[in-house]
Amino acid sequence: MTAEAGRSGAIRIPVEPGRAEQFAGLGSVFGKSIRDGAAVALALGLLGGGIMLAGGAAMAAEWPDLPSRVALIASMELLPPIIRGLLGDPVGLDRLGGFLAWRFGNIAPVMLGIWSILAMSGALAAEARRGSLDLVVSTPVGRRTVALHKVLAHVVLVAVTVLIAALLTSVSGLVFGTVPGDEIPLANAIGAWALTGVLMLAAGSVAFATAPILGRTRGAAVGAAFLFGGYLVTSYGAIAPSLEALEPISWYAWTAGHRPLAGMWDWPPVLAVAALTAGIFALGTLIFERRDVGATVDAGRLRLPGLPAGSSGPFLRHLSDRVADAIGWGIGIGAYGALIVSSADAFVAILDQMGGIDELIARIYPGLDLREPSALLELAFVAFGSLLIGLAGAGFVAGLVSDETGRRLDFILSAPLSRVRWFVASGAAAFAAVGISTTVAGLVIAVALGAAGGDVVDPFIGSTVLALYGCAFVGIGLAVAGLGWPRYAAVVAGAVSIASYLLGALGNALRLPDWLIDLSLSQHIGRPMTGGFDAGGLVVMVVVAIGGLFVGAWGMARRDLQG
Amino acid sequence: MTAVITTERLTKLYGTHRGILELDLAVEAGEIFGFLGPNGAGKTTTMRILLDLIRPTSGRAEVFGIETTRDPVAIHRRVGYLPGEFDLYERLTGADTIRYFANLRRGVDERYVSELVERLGLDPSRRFREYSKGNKQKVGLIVALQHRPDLLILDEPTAGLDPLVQHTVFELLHEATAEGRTVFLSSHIIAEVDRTCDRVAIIREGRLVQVDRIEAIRAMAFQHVSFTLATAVPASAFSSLPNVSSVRVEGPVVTMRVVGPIGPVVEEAATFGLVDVVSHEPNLEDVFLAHYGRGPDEAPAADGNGHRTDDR
Repeated sequence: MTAEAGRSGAIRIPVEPGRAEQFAGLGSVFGKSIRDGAAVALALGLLGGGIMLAGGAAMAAEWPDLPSRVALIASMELLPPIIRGLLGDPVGLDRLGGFLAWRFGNIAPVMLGIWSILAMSGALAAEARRGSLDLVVSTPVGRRTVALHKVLAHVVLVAVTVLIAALLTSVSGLVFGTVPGDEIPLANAIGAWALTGVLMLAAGSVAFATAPILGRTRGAAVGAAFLFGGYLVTSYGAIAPSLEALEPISWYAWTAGHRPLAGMWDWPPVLAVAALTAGIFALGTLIFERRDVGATVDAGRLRLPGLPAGSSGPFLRHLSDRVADAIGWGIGIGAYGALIVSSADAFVAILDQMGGIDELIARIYPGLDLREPSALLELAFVAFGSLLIGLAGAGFVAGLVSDETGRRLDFILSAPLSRVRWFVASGAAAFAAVGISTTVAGLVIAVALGAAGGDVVDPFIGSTVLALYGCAFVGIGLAVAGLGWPRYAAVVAGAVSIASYLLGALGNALRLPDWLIDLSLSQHIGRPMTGGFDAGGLVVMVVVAIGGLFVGAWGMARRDLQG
Repeated sequence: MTAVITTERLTKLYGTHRGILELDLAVEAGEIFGFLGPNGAGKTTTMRILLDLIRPTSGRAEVFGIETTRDPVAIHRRVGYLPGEFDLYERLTGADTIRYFANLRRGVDERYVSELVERLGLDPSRRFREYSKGNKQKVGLIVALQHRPDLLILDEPTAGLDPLVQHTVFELLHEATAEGRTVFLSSHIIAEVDRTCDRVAIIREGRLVQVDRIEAIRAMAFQHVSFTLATAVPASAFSSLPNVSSVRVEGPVVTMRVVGPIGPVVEEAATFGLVDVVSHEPNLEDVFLAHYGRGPDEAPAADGNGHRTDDR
């Protein structure tokens, strides 16, 4: 809506909202939130549904008839339960719905939950930081209503997302079903996606409740810890007993029995999580209502002892700003690795109880001695750890570009400092921050390995590979920023990191072509925790990182600064 | 007169940092009340408490007789607010932004909005992020003014505006008070506050140091008076007079500072053959600077009574 010229030529801005604008437009806080988030909700619904369609197509192509599916089930039963757990419970694999639930049921809430965390952590905290919340709250709408409108709008948007995905899931059964029973009734699809929606909102509610206290970034981090933590517990619990011990507090585990696509219904835990989520949203609303607008608690930051204050130039300036986050990411990733290592003995004990398992494992994971803690790291840590370091790199890019998006760069470059020098130094600081993260993670893991009596050297060196992996995503972000899209640099770096992880995790299941799967950098990490390096992959990572830096610097030197 | 804003021993602490301390203030209906103080003095803190955006550590604040923490929505219905620092939705146009806030309030007069847009010279068709600082300020002002609120709380309303638009803004504020509405504003442009406000409060390091009508504050200030006399006289001829201080003699020229009417001093000068008189009328800036130790004089509390004549 823009201004209109009236008959007299006067500028006219209609100020009475239509009824439709109350629900999707500038007629209310709710309407504006719907308006702002509708495109993302639609896109994610299509993405979720699209994955279900692709999964259906893969099933139809690979296992089109019952005999082939019986063979699939037999091969799954050959896998030890501890490894089957990685993919979730294989229930009803002889039908399309069961296959889709098995392959995507666990990962969908994690993928889509990131949106919920970002949206809900920013709903109030980002507006407060910008200063617009003061204006919104000073209208007669009232704080509680503002918060409730934003929550309600997000719930509606999530509902739209899961409804679209459910519809396409049902269509997948209709189009790609090849045996009787492959049809997926819409009610089952909705039942399955309702769980996804509830799990998304659960993570978002945590971010919503904590962001007014901790600020947007830390609120999102807490939400992400619940999102990814729950996923890790559910996915790797069977491998790592120490994770399994956490299952009672994971809402993923509570709702594991609700798999409507596979014909399993268990609504009470889903409703319980929904009620808990509503309670957390209510708590967040109460917190927002009672606290000073925009006031966050100084939760304290980890600091690197002896680091210069960072006033000598852009490299140290950026690095000193990133160090606390870098150490935080390193400790988080390292703690996850240490948790896996701590499960090594129990894992070996399970293997020993299963006769003939070694031969089978050697066939599935050639060259990997799963009785070594470092091998367990390879199996259960590297993929997810590399995703996390990619996201950390995206975060460091966000810090770098904030010089420009926060309008500091005009000041900085008014000093006798060339753009290219600023860009390269700042980019190098982001690389260094990734290095700090992986070094800290490597040290934490090494300590855990040392305590478990495992090989320390290879995993520590392997963390260097993770550093290169993270730097590659920093390079992508740098290129995007330098070429003229600083606002999108971190988003692109993070999205490519997630896409790379998903391609690696789901590409084969979706029967995607090899060339496409090979685009994922996660496919070229090698086996760094056990001393196996993919030289070609390492070269590619270095080229992407350094190339991104130079492309970005090249673009930076040629474009206007953005205000 | 009815007090629109009252604060009693209002205090806000941010952890160990001082916000405001025991602030007692009363703003009457229909006046333009200026709130002066340097950066960090506590002006924004006070305004945000009035809107219940932040809560007092102790003391109380009332707007329209309603305690700010008790029913802020009832207050907000009658208030227009312009924050000192704000950034709005960068993808919305100026028109969208104005509409959005009009919708949150309801009952906004479309013609008045158009008038404000025209008088402030805003192109509402551009996206907010494309606006200059001054144009963003115009959007904020229209958002604050468009519903003709009973009370306008404006934090640095003319920041970033060119002199012509500043003039328009103060015209609009005078129109508001002519309709019986009240304006509570902070500003760094002292001369403008001097010309525009009915009363002014000066805040320093979180504490209120003076509240009064502009004329009264001026009257309390020193005047710089310079006499050229027929012959040189000793400084003691004037320094012994009441309300006179800092007498300097340079040949036939005598300069001094005088509080209050200068008639008695002129009469005394006439006895020495008065040739010429130059008197510098004090302005608010002199008072303000004196309070902060930047002016040639000390604070005008020299009357010995603290002379916070209007505070309560």
